[in-house]
Amino acid sequence: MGLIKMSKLEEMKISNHNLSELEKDLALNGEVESTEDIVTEELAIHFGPQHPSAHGVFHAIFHVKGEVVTKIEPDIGYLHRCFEKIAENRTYTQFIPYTDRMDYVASMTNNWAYCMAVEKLAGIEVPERAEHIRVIVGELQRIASHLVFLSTAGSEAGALTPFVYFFDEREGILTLYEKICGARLTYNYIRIGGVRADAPEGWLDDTLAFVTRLKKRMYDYDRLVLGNYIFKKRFIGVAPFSAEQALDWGLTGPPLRSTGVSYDVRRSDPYSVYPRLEFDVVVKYKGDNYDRACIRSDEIKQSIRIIEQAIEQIPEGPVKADGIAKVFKPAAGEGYGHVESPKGDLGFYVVSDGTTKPYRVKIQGPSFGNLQALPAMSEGTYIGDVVLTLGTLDPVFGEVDR
Amino acid sequence: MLSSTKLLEFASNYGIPVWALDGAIAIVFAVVLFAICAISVIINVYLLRKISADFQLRYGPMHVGWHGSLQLFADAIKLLTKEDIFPSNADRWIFRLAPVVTFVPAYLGFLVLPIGHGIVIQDLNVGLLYILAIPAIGVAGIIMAGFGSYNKYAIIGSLRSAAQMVSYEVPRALSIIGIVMIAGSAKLSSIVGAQHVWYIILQPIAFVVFLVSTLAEINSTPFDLPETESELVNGYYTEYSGMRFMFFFFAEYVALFAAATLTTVLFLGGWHGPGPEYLGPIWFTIKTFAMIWVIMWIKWTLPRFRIDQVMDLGWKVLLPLALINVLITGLVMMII
Amino acid sequence: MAGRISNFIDAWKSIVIGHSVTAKKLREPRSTFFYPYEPPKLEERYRGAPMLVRIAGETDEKEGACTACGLCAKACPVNCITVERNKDKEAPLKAAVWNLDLTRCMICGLCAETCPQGALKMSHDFENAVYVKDKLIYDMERVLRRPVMVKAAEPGSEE
Repeated sequence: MGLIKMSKLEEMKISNHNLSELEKDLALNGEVESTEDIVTEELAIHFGPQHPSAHGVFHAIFHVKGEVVTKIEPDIGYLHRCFEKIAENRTYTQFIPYTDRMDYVASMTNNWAYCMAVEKLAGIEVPERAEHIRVIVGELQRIASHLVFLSTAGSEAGALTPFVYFFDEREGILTLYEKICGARLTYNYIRIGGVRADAPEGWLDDTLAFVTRLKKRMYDYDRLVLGNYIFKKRFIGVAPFSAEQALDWGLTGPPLRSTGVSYDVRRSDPYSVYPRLEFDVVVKYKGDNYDRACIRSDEIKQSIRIIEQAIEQIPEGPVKADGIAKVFKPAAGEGYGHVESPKGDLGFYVVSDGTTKPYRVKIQGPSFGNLQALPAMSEGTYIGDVVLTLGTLDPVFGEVDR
Repeated sequence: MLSSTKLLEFASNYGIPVWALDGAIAIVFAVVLFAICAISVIINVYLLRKISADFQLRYGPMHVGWHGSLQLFADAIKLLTKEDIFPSNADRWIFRLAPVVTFVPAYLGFLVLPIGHGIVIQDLNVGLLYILAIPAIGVAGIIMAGFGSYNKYAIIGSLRSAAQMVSYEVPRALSIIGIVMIAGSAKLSSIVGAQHVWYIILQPIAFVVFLVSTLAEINSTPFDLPETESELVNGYYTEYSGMRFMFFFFAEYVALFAAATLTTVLFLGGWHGPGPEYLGPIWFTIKTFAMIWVIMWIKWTLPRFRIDQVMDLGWKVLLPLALINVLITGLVMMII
Repeated sequence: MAGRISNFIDAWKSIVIGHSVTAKKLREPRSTFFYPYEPPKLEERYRGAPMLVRIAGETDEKEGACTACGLCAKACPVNCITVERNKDKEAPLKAAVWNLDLTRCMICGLCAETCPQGALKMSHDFENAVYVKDKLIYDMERVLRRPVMVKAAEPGSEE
C-alpha cells in the first residue's frame, strides 16, 4: 500500500473548482491583463505525517497556488502492521484483540464484525441476550466515535472548547465500557458466539441514564457547533459530492449517506436484532462538508433511540453460545460478516482450511475507501477546507493502513 | 517635555542640562513601562489559562505555586534555558530580528495610554493615530519571521497575517472617527475626559466594528489564521523555539492587553467610575480585565473563518458599517 | 437586501447562543482530577497487568494458585507468558517458571479468561513506567508480589 493512484482524477469534473473563478477575478482587476502576467510558483507543502490535524499519520503533499490547493498526493502506510498476515498465524480467538487496534476510535464494532464473520463461517448461533448487549455496546461505540468526530471537526475549524465538551461526554461512554469489559480503548469484549461477560449489575440503568443525559445535552452542543454561523460558513457548500461520484469512489457510511444514498448495513443487510428495532437511516442530500457533519449529530440521536429500545427489550439468558472452545476448528469454508461501523461498511472475510487458524482474513475498512475520495473532493478548495474535508471523511489511520 | 516646573527648578539649581533630565526621566519611564507590561503579561497569561480552563471544565495550572500562579515563571525558565535553534537555511539576521520587531511596537502603544486622570507618560495630541499606527509595525516582524525561517507554513502564515492586518487597519481606524468627532480631539486623555456617557452607548456600531477588527489585529479567534494550528502547524512562528518563541508569545499577550486597554479608553469610559478621582487607575484595571475576559470568551467559543471570508468580512461588511457609522454620527451631530 | 439583513441577524443570534452555551458550562463541575495526587477510580473489571493470585491463608510468599497447566501461555496472542511446570516430585502441580514479558503484553485479558483455576487475574496495576526495559519482564516472584489482590482461588470465577 503506497501512493493512492489518482488515474481517475483527470477524467472527473470537479464541481467545486474555485480556481478558475479566482483567475477570472484577478483578470477582471484592471491592473493585470491575465493571471499569466504574474509570475507565480506552485508551492508543495508536506502535510503530515506529523501534523496537528493529520488524523494520526496521514501524509499528503499539497500543491498550493496561493491559498488554493490544486493537487493533493496522499501517501499512506505509516501505520501498516500486517494485520491480515498476523491473522493467519493466530487462532480465531487470538485475533480479536488485534481488531481492537484497527479503528481504535471504534474498537467494539471491529470486534463485532470479525466475530460475526467467524460465526458465519462456523455456523454459530448467538444467544438473544448477547445480541442485545452487542447492539447496545455497538451503538454506544457509534456515539463515542461520532462525538470524537464532532470534537475534531470543531477543533479543526478552530473551536477548541467544544472539543473538550465532546470528549467529556465520551468519557462517560468509556466509563461504561470500563464497567462492562475492563478497558477504555481496546475492549476485546465481543467473543465468537457471544460476548465476554454479562453486563454487571446496574450497568443497563447507568447506560440509560447516560443516554438520557446526552440527549438533553446534544441540543446545546448542536447550537454551539453545528448551528454556529462561522461553522456553517466554513462547512456549507464546501467539497460537495454527488451520489454518482460517491458510489464511483466506493464511499460508505456517513459520507455516502450525506449524498442521498440510503445505504446502511443495519437496514440493507440486517444483522443481529436490528430488524426488530425502530430507527431511521439518516440521509442528507447535498453531500457537502456540512451534511457530512450534521449526519453524525443526527445519527447520535438515532443511536440513543436504538439503545433505549434495546435496553427495554433485552431478555434474560446466557451471553455466550455453548460448546465453543477457546481453540476450535471450524470446517473448511468461508464467511463474510460486515457491520455498519461508525465510519461505514466494515467487512471481514474469513477463509478456513479446517485448522485452528484462519487460512486467510481479508479486511475491508471503510476509512480506506472514504479517504480515497479526498483529492477528488477537495482539489480546488482552500488549504483550510482540505483540512476540514479530511476531518469530515473521518478516517482513522489504524484502519486505513491496518 | 516631561519635566514639570518643579523638576526644572531643581535641575537649574544643580546645573543639570534639560536634555539630561529628559533622558533620565525617559529611561525611568521606559523601565517602569516595561515592568508594568511584563507584570500585565504574567497576569494575563495566568488569567488566560485559568479562564480557558473554566470554559473547558478543567482546572488549568495547579501545581507550581498557589493554584499554579508561578507556572509562567517555570515556563519562562524552561524557555530561556532551551537550545537556540536555527533552521538550516534560515536567513539568520532576519530570523533573529523578527521577534524583537514584533515585540517592541506592541509595548510602545502604552506610551500614550491614560490610565488615570493625568496619569500618562506622553499625552500626545495625536495619541489616537499613534496608538493605531505603532502597533501595526509589528506585522513587519511577522513577515520577517515567515520570510526568515525558510519554512512553507511560516511563509503562508506571515502572508495571511499581512493581508489580514492591512485589511483590518482600515475599518478599525474608520470606526474610531465617530469618537473623534464627538470628543473633538484625537488626544486620548481628552477623549476619556469627554466620556461622561460611555461611548459604547453613543457609538454601538463603532464598538462592534472596533471589537471585531481588534480581534483580527491581535490574531485572536475567529481570526487566528496566521497561526492556525490545524492548517499551518503554528503559522509564522513554526520554526521558533526557546527564547525567541517566548518573545512572540509575550508580544501576543502584550497586544491583547493593549487592545483591551484601548477599548477601555475609547468605549468604556477609561478611568471614570464612582468614587474619588484617585480610584481611576483601579477602575481602569477592572474594565481592562473585564474586556480581556470578554475577548477570551469569544476566543474559546467561536471557530475561525477561512482566509477569503476574513477578507470579505473586513472589506464588505466592516468597512461599510464603519462608514455608515461616520455618516450617522455626522448627521446626528448636525441635527443636535 | 432583506435576506442579507436576516442573515446578519441570524449570524449574531447564533454567535450569542454559542456564547450562552459556553457561559452555561462555566457553572458545571470540572471533569478532570489531579491524577498523581488523587488515584483514579477504577471499575471492578478494570484490566491492568496480569497477576497471579495468592491462596488466602498460605504463609509461603511464593505460593500461588497456579497449577502450571500452561493454558495462559497458549491463549496469549503475543506469547508473552512462559510457564514451566515444577519437576520436583513433592509439589508436582506448581509452576517452576512463570514469566511475563510486560513489554509485549497488550493486556487483552485472554489469559485470565482461560485460566481454569482462576489463578491468573487482571490486576488494577496500570503504572508500569520504568527506566530500564528489563524491569518489565516479571518472574513469578514479582507477579505474586503485586500488592493488589489476595483472594481465595475460585475455579471459573472469571466469566
